[in-house]
Amino acid sequence: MKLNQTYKPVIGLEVHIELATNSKMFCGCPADHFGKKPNTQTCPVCLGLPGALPVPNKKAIDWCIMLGLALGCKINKYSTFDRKHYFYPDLPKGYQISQYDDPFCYEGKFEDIRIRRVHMEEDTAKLQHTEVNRKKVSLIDFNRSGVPLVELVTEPDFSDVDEVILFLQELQKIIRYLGISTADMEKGSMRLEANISLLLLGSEPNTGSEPVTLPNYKVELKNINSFRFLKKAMLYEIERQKDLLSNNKKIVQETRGWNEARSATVSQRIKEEAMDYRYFPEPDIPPIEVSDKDIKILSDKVPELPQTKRERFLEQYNLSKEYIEILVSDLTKANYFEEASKLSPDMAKTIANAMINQNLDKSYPEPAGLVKKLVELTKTDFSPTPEVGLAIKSVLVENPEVVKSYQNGKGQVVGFLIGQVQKILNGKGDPKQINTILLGKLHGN
Amino acid sequence: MTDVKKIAKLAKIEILPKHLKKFSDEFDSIVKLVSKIQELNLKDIKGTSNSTNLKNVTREDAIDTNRILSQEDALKNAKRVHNGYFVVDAILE
Amino acid sequence: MKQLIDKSIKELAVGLRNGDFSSVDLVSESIARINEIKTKTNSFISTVSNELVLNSAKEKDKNIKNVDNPLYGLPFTMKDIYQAKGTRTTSGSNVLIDYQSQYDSTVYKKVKDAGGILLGKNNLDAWGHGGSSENNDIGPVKNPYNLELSAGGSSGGPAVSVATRCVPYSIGEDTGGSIRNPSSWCGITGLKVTYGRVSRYGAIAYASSFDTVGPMAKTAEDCAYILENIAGYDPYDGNTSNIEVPKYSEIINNKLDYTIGVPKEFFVKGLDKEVETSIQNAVKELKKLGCKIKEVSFPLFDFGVALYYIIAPSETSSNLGRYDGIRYGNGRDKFTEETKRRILIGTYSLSSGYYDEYYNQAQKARTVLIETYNNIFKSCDAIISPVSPTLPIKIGELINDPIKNYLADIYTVTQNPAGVPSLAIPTGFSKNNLPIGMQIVGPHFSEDKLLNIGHQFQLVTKYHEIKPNI
Repeated sequence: MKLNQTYKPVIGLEVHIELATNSKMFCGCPADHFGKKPNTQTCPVCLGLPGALPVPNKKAIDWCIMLGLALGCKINKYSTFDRKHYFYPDLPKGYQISQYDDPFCYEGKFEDIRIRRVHMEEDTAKLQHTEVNRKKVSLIDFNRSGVPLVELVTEPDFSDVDEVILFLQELQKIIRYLGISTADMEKGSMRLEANISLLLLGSEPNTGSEPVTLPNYKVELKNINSFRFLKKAMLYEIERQKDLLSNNKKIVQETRGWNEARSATVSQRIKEEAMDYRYFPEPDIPPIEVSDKDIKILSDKVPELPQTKRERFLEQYNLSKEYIEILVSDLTKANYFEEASKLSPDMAKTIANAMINQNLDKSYPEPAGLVKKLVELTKTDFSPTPEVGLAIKSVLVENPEVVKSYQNGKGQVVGFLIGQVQKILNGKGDPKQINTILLGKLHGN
Repeated sequence: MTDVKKIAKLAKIEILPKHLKKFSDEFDSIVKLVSKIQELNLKDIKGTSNSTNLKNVTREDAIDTNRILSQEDALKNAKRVHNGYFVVDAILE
Repeated sequence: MKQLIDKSIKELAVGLRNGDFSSVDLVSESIARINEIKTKTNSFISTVSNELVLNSAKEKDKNIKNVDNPLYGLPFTMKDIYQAKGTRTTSGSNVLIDYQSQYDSTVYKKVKDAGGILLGKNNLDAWGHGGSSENNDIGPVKNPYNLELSAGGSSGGPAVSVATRCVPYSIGEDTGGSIRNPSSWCGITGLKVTYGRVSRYGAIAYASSFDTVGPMAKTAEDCAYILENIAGYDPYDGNTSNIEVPKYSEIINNKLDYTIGVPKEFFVKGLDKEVETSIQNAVKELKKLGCKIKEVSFPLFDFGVALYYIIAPSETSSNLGRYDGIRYGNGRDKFTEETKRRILIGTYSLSSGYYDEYYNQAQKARTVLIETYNNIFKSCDAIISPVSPTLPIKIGELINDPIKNYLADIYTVTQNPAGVPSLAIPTGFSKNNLPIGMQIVGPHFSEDKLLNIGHQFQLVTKYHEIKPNI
């Protein structure tokens, strides 16, 4: 066991996002495949029949570019689709139409993490493993084949597990803000892969020196469908690798999944030498040219992003950090809150409270409805008008010098007079009403 | 002598051992024939993968009911089906 | 023996509307002729049932006076790569021998909508892989002029169907000569269109950036009528052109006023003397018709075969990846040897470590090839070229010699990478009564000019009227 060894985790992410378009990426079949009867949403194109040809979905491309823009990426003026070749039963053509050399988006940066690329590809069919007539088989459903997928790849810039989770949670919010996907991990519309390796920093801890080279291996964590499990898996994996490395054992380059029952990552597939995908430009699809004008139009469609909204909510509404987070996490809630606050600006905190602690927005589809209800609830019992009138009369009579100084131009003494009125009324006077009647009387009405 | 077996594996093409020698010889002579392309000096030239000058050929995000196959039609030519699914021997993960 | 199907499409259209004969008469003749021919020549893989064909013809007869389209009520066939519901589409391979079409190709839909009656699917080189229609699991397509010789390929079956007057026309496919070669060896007319002029949707792909869908018929005039119907933009094929489809059948009547280039590199050793003489005579004929003839140069000529046999196999190795036997078809072990060879060469050219030297290098050469054609067409409207360096060859000669097989394509493999159109027309016969043809190659979307030249040539020659004695 080596002493004084510091290992720094080197983590990179690959995220696949299923777009919520109406139709698939290269054909007009419905993209919404959840819960549909098997093989009822296919056509010659997505089933890979002889002679079928792909034509790309414009909205999917726009949405991919919007995500790239939201993450600070450069947009390729000239982009192509490429064929990625491998054989698998869920891949009907024997190749996936993806992007290799010229992705739509590249070299972005988000929260100190470099984004290598954001590109478009098509999803594969769904495989189900089961037994039929006592024989182990895999059942294939092509409803999902061809659904648009955005692939996002980061540089291995993460060195901390919490950093990874926060990044992914923020990414999920951004995707939902853009309205391009439900980004639901349980439903599979957001799929995560984390590549983890450890870098030995040297025998002196805290040297502060940055590693110049990356580790010469990586383990891929895949098929993990929640942030919670991903965090557990990464923590486990880091320890597992630390243990192997400090015992001078080699780390096998492989794909591992998370086994919750065993609380451990488990090997799923050994990665042999890198697969030769034989990429070449997709001849069936002419190149895509993106102009500056296109980029401006798409850029304008990117809404205010979560971080900007957080900062603005703090400044504009002065809510607590916790409240802000809850509102910002759900764009619908945030918009509802703002609409309600517009109607009654000084009630912003009350509105937030009512939404967050009592879920009152659920009962009122229209923000105006909620505001009306809240106004009702917070209404105080003011003193009846005759009482107010009497109190004012009484104060004016008892403070002739003050009245005189008001009439001589000292406007600010009104505050003193209002205070005296409220004293008589035990604070139950309606401030607006007092003000109106008092001023009226001072001016001789 | 090219490793034809390796290429065949990549292409999921089976070559029986008794045919391997003939295949390899033919393969090598074809490679020799097409290697002629390397005689050309094409250093600063960009390749063309499409002889049209088309760009930005896309479609609107609409559902096309004209092409959707019924489940029956989709499965029509499969040798193995089960409850609406295509069937293959279990893929070991 | 005289047949109705000796007539041109125009004559047939007029005859139908005059009541000289009916669509039922035509398809009946077609059915009988196919039965006489198909076994002798291996030109058919499947035929549509007589009942369906006759019912369709009866329906056409009822309507004929109300329809303008000259294709209405005429029988036709297609190379067995075109999806057509109700038929098997096999590509001549045991991999798809039992494949039932699940949808219609665009070209089939267009011809059907125009009133064409499909009689059958023709034999070919499987997947388009060949120039002699011997590379298939059906049997070699035999030349109707001499059954020991090849009909050419890969659209051998369609060429025989037209030459033997089974049908007035067939829809073939050309990726590196597959319409032009069999057209020349069978003495008929075939058009390789500009890439993107006709939709490929529903045509089993060989090389995606080379494949073209085109008409094969007795004459350029017939091809003009067919092309008017099948050309045009298709939202299902992202490479189809938006350029308007001209009225080809009118343009063919223009007087010839073109400059025609004759590349000196084409007429060198290796070209059969009889073929050379026949083509040179044809050129003289074009001069008489008013064309200016000039010598031009085609410097990349020697590299065409290498360029083609890198890119086409690369694309086909990719396109044939879908044949895994799961959703349709049979296993990959059923591919023929020649097809396996092409898949392997293609896989090799695309593989890591070889991609740059082979695939990428070939695509760069392609850029230069396109430039070469562009330059040539700056000084002439079209160029003349042989189609095949030899007369039709004996069955068995090419299929067993891959290199000889590939080199035989030398004149027809540069047009597809460049996307340029080419019309193959008969120019004569050898002393052994074997057909000889030439091709007229033009710039993108010059089909109107090529058909014009072909038609005017056929007005003053009679080679296209000759048919085999079978």
